[in-house]
Amino acid sequence: MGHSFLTYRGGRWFWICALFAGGLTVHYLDYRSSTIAYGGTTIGLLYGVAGTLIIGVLMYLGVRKRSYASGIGTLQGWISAHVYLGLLTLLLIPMHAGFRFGWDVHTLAFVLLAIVVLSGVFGTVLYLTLPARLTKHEAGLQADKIDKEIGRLLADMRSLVKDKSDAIVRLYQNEVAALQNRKPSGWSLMWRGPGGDVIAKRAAELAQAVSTIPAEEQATFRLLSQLLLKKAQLEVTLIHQMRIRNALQAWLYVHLPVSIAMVVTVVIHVLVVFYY
Amino acid sequence: MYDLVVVGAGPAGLSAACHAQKNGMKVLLLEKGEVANTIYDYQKGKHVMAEPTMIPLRSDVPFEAGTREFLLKTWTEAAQAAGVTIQRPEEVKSLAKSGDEFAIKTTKGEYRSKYVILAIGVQGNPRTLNVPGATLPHVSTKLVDPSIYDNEDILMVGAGDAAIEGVLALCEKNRVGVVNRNTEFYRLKDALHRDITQKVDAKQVTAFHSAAVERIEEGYAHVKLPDQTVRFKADLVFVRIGAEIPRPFLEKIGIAFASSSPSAPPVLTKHYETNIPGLFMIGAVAGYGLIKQGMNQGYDVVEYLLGRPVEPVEEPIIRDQRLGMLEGTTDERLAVVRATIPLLAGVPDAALREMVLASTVHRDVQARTVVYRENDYSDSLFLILRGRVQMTCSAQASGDKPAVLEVGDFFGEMSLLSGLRRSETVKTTEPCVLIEVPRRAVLRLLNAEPSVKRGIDESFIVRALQLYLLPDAHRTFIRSIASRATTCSYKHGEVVFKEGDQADAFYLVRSGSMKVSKRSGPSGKEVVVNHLPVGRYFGEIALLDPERPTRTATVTATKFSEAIRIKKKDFLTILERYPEFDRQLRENMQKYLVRGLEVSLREVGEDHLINRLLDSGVFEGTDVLLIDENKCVRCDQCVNACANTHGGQTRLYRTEGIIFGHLLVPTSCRHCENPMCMTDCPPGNAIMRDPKGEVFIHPDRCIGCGNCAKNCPYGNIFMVHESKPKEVGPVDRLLAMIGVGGNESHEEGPTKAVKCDLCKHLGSGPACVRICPTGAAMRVSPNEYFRKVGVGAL
Repeated sequence: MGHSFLTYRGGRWFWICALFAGGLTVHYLDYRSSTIAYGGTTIGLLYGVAGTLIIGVLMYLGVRKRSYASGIGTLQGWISAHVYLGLLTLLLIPMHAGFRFGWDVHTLAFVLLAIVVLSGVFGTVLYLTLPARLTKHEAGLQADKIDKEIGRLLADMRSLVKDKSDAIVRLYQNEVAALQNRKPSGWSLMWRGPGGDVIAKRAAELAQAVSTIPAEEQATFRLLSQLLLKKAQLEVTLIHQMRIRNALQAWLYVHLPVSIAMVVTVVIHVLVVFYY
Repeated sequence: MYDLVVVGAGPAGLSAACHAQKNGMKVLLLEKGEVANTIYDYQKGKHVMAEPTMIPLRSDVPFEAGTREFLLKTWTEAAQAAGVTIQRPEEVKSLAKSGDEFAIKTTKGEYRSKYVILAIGVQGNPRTLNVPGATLPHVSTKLVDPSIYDNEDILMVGAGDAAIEGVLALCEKNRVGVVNRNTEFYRLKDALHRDITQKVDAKQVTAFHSAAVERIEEGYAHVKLPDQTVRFKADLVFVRIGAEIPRPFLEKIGIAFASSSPSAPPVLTKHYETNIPGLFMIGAVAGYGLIKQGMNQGYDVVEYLLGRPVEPVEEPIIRDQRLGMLEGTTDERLAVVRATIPLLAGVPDAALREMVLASTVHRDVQARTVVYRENDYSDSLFLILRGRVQMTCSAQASGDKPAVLEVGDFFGEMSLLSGLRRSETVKTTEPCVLIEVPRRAVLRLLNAEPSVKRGIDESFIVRALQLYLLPDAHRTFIRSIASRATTCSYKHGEVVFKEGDQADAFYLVRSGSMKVSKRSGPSGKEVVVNHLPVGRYFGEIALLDPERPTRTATVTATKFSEAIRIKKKDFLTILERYPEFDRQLRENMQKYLVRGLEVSLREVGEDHLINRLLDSGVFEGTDVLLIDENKCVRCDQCVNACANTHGGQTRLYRTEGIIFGHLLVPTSCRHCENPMCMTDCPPGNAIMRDPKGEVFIHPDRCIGCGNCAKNCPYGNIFMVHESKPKEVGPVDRLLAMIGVGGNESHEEGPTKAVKCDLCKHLGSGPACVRICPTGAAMRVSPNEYFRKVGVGAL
């Protein structure tokens, strides 16, 4: 793997956050031993303010990500900080609450935060592992080129089956129909996958069809089979690629909405604490 | 009886006539064709340059760079405004002087005048074919609007720039053949050469080389080839084989020429008066090809006729601005320059003037000023008019005395010729006067003056030997080696020598680059084992080892390249004299041979990374965008960032690139060592490189000709419409979704070239790299980077 955003600038943000976490723990133990720890004490409030500030920084990534011309650090640095600061909140917020949880909006805010952070951890793992796998699948062809290649294969098939017997023409027509009837399968691919050895299955189907083809067209059939298998192979590659591409984005569909919900509950939490 | 008759209503003639009219002279302007015939015959929409930019325009007729249509309109209006009547079409048949006046006979009448200015240009006299059928109506020397032809069979005779421009415009909609006198297309602009080669390869154009038209008939032309004659279907025949001075006509008048050569200019005084007093010649027919020159001359002649003191417009610039530190008249000052700098000894007056005009003269350079530093990307030539400089380079041992250059010497030719960054630092040691000649002016001089070319070539060899091979050698020894060395040039793909050839010379790459390849493995497939950029030597192994007198590998030029060739005998002399160099070469040779063993052992079925990298020109770059696909999460943030920071138009296409293993080289400028894009920029300074190496386009200077985009071998320059699309915000997008707004078509401006500018305007580095969330995108110097990761290391 080598260098990644986790080890950005020699793991600068890891060390900053680790030191901060260490200091925080020492400070917390000292504070808890002297008073009852909860959100309302001066120290507790201070932790709360720090936590809110950190959440502010974490949420600001969404803005920084789109500030293409910004000169404030590189995005890689921001992501590095985002990961470690995010993890830090899992320590800081419980300390703010003195590790007291209940069935209320305050705990809800923390639960949401935990979901956000854990989905972030999951996303980090995906970011670190998936690109290399995707590269392997793309070594064949990249998605946009596969589409063109499939189109070309279909055109080849079409000219091949021209003026041939119905049995062969039907094979081609089935192929086109399958393409037209294809449901937008997008996300379901994530769970289903291509399903077994598609190519072997397809080859078996074609082998069965041999008997229906007139003898004088067997040569054409072999050429067509080659094209059909090639197409099937490209489609499998495409599905693999799409799955990984989708996975690279899918986690964000949890991470982002929950983070917004979390911010809303934090606001409610603050309002509830100060006004009631 | 007229005061002045001007023949030819081109820019020069118009300028003269308008100025004379304004000053109360009785003027007649005769034109046999259209106003500004040469420009009129240009292709529609062609952009006309106002060169040379450093000379001001001195005329009552305006002239700025612009399209053909714009210029024709301006000039016609200017003539009307000045009240000049242009009589056309009316051709002069004879011109004779009797006593103090001229008698002019035309196709329409006879006139008498005190003075006559001939401003007839050369295009009024196009070369034509002298074959049967050449005068048929479907044969023409003019091609103004290629777009009006559709689905025709057309034959173009001629293979110069104008002819090929026409072919390229015609071939989209017609079947076009082109008759070329020579064995191949040569002396074409690079972009045209590439385009026409491509069209010929794609069979869109039929090219007849070493060919001549034998006979033309209705619907067909007979083209004579070396081994046969072809009957080519041609509904139309265009003849574009240049034009010439109508010398017989001029000689009949009695005008004297400098020599009998067809291109010799007429003998003129400094006021453009011919040997016949009162008869003047200006513009192209007098040998001055630039529009601005002709216009200024027209003005000057009239000033002279009015009895006012005149000096050419560039005279004060040369005298007072460029050579202000010298004394005497302009000619005396130029003579001093010529006498001081031996390199310029053989340069004729006009060329020297042009060079000085184009140059910057650094009049008082203080002592210990750095002229340029090692690794700077400047490429001008410096001439020392006064003072002394010293040259140092980091390759030198610290104790070495730096080379000293004195009055009359020149420096900077290394970068100029090789296109590489400066290989030395030059610093003045006493107050100096330096003439800095820009690259284009030097190249013009090199083409025109063999003596300058020889001088620079010789010095280049001496310095290259000193810099790359023998830093400690005595200068006189190097000079003697250099005097026997030759410079050889190689075309793209040309082989310098083959594996197994007898070895008779040693080489040093002077410009371009070479690849070294060997046949290996059972398959005998050719494997590239090394890449040789400028400054690397090759061919030493077979010379060092008497046991092995044949070449161990094949060396091929990867593009147009030049190499300095040192004969075996001289090479051995060098080894004898410099044992340290000998030792070093042998050490390198051992390494190389071990590496060669490895290559021949390895079965090389898989395609070789270095070969592909070479072929794709990645090593050409100085600053290449690479994406580590194993880190890239395909978020396209880099592309978005590029578009966002460049008015909505990205200059980076992530998926269009080439992949090497897990490294992607996306479509984005590589800021090449020797940028092809810069070779053919009509304004000359719209695409440039700054001293740090970045190649950038100056948007105000770009005329949108598209040459740089065509010349970029990697497709990294894009022609886009100037008018910025309105920024689409989230609100606009929402509105567009419900069908409100959007859809407004914005006026499309002319296209201009854009490319990666490394986000210079942001001042914090390229946005694509800065916005990459995972650090997958990086900008690297490929030579350093790939050496670091172990590709192409030898």
